[in-house]
Amino acid sequence: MRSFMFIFFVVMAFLIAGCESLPKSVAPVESQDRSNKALWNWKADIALNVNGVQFDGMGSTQLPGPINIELVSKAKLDVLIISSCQRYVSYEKLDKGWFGGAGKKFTYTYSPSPTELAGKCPLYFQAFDKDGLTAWGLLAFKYDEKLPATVECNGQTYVSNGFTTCQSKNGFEQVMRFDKDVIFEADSSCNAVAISKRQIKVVPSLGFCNITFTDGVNYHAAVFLGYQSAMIRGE
Amino acid sequence: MWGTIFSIALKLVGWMIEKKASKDEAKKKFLELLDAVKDDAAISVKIKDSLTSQREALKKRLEEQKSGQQPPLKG
Repeated sequence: MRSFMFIFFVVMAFLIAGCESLPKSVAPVESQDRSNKALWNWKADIALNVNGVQFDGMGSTQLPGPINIELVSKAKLDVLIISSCQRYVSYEKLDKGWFGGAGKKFTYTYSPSPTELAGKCPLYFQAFDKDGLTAWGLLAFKYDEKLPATVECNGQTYVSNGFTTCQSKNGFEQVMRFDKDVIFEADSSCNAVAISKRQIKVVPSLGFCNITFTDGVNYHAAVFLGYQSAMIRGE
Repeated sequence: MWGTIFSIALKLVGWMIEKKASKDEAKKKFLELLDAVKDDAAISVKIKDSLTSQREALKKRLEEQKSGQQPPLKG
């Protein structure tokens, strides 16, 4: 009995000493300077798999639905908020991870309402975990936009058929090119300038900005995000 | 012997109180964050309004062009 008690106290002493030697609180890097700013101050990085097509944070797809959206968040889904121009739904601890805690994956079936179908109404995903980490994503929807464009976005060049989403560091130059002469309307924060009748330079300020182009027949819509920095979570 | 037990028990209680306080603080910050960003959900409405009004403005410009006026290209 004595030896048992001795071992018990030695183990307890080691445990307590071990706990005390740990840092008191290891704040996630992201949470240190966030000052409760909107999540879109940082790059969107929730991985969105929409009907088999993968997007890194932001993307666009075709409606009508229903569509299956598989989300993989870098923050645990202690709280997930999904909003559109009409809906606002929140979930808690969707996916059970290790030891019953929140996980990072969720599949959402989006069945748009008539109002959501009628408007240019993206889905906005906000994920929060209890350690203060966050993640977000945006899925926009193409309606009748058919004008193709070649997009230079964040170092990548690709063809976009009617609806573009592009996120880049704020103040960095992005470019959109068309095969036909276009006119456009842009939010002032896009700082959009026509280099020629077919090439437009976009330098997004911090936050979202939108542009609509037309060649007189078809339209092209674009949602740009200028972010402050990528999320470094220190994981 | 009892002194050691008492000292260890005291440390254990102290550690538990500190852990509870830190958990409460984390929860408070978490709720503050959720409260602070709740209005961000309106971003979808803003995008919709902006793209819709741009489309209307372009339609108007095209109609003006067709009716003989030639507004210059923007930019």
